[in-house]
Amino acid sequence: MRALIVEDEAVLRQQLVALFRDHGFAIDETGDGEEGLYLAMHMPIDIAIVDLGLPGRDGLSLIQSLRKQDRHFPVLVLTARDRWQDKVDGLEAGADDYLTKPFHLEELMARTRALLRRTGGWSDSVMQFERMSIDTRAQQVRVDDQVIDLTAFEYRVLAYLATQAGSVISKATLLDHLYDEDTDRDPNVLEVFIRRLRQKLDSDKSLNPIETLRGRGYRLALPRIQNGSSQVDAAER
Amino acid sequence: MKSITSRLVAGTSLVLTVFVVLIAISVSWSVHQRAQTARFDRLQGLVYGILGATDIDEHSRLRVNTQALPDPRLNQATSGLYAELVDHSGQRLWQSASTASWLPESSRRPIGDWLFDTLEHPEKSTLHRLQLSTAWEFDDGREIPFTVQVVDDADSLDRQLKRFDQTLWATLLASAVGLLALQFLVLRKSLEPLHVIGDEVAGIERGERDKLSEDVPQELSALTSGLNALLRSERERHAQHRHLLDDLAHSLKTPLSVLQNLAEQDQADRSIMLEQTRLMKSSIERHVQRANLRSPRYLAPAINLRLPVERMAASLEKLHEHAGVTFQLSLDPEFMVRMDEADLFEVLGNVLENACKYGARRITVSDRIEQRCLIIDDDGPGFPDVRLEQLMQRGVRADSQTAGSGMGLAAAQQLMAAYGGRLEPAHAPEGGARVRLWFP
Repeated sequence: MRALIVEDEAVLRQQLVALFRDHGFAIDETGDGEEGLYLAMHMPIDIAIVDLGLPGRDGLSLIQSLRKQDRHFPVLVLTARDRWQDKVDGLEAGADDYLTKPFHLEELMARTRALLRRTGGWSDSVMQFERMSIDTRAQQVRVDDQVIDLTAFEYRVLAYLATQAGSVISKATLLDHLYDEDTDRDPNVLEVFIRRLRQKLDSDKSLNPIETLRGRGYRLALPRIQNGSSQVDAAER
Repeated sequence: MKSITSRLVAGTSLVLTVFVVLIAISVSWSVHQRAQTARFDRLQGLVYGILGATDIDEHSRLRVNTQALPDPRLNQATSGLYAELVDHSGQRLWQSASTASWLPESSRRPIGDWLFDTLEHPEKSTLHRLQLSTAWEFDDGREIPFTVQVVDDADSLDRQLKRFDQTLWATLLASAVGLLALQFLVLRKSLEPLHVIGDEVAGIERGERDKLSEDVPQELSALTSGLNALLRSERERHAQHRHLLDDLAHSLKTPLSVLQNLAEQDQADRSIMLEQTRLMKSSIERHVQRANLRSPRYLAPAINLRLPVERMAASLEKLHEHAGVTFQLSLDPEFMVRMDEADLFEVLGNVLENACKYGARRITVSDRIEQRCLIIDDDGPGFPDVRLEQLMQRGVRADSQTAGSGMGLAAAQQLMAAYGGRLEPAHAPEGGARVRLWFP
């Protein structure tokens, strides 16, 4: 997952970057509104965290410009203004959720995960597939109710494929969403990780969770099971 | 044209000028008209008189008996009144003794025709002439056509008319100037209270006085008392903000110093730090809420209730989309409320989000505009079975501010009360919660 963080308060931005890195996100960061808009337009962003009071271009106008130019990834607004009118302004500009400062980092992460899941059409914090489930809060994967022990990177690869379940994801796209811009990225390494992931999830070769489409990329092909309940999600908010 | 005085003076000067000119012209015209008629009548009398003094002699020639002439001036040389008889070939038959060297040529006209005109004498001034073409009829049917002409040297009457005109214009202009001056004085006097208010406002700006005097004409008392209310509220607001700021600073200093001390230690207790930051956060929230509530609310403009409700509902639908929350709005488009827009959003946000938070899926917003009441019903679990008034009191006291205990409702209720309205929680007929907002 690739997150864009636009926050002009340097200390808070560093905290946010560290938080998102810890949770396996690739990061684009800036403290300037104009640069934020540039990054949002040109990087394969999955979610943006935007402060409202920014130099260069304020957060509201940044979000409006994004939406006008058909960028539909979720945007979470950070603001010190906690009056309802400000929140409504933010949501009408195109934000999907807001968090008023000061906030707890855990809450920001929970909201972020909720937004990402909703983008993929999941209302629950547990993504349920046939025989496999991914608990995005505990970052835990189960196959046939057995907990599978994954490394952080393996989990990120699987979680990204799961949010895009059913779609073909090219290697380049997958790399874009997993690595920071300046990291050395090697498609061959990715292949190794995918192979290891398959072995861990599918030791007896009966599940085949990740399909390879030659020359096009990967696809998580397990049928989704949507559980109607959204109690967990509501509690999370 | 910035000043009211100059506008009024310019306007009335224009009106007065037009008025005076029109009056002068019409009076003068009608006087001249009457003079002309009177002159015609007089000259006509003379003509008839001359005809009366006219006789026929034994040679069948016309003859005027000078003793019987209607006006003695006709017998005085150069008296200014002349008469003559002329036959139709232009031959002068008779002329009065007063006749000077020059008389206008009479013209031949049909019998019975009057000619009344004004002529310029080559040397003297204007002359008025009346001429009648007539005929002397004999018993045997023969007739002698001739013309009687009376000429009046117009000097004296014209002089009178001229003097009348001069007097007329002079009087009217003088009264116009007098009226303007009077009006200027009246204006000065009437506008004086405005200058006084201006001076007083300047005095307030300089800090020499703290309010406007209320001893002003009736028309201005609304203005001054309004301004005084504004000044008072501004001063109260200022004082309250300063108090709130002092309170806030004070309440932040304690946890801040705890944190500072902790930071100087090698091993800081994270739970204490978290507790202190929580205290600081709730302190800020409480003070912001107090600041919002305390601001006096004067002169809020009327806004249409429907748009804020629609915007709020759309935003909450977006936020709670995953939970499947939907709003049904049926609102009168003419429902106006006098409330600051931000405060209205605050009330609506707190009430509507409350419904979303407590598990409602379908939220209905309707109104009873004649009672100035907005009704919010939901299909959630409804309010807990405590006395509903208690619901409103919770969260008001600072020390009981825990999230999700109806704090939003209490805040909304306080805001409504600040505007003279109220909020009433109740049970919806279909089982969920009902909140009624009564607007002033």
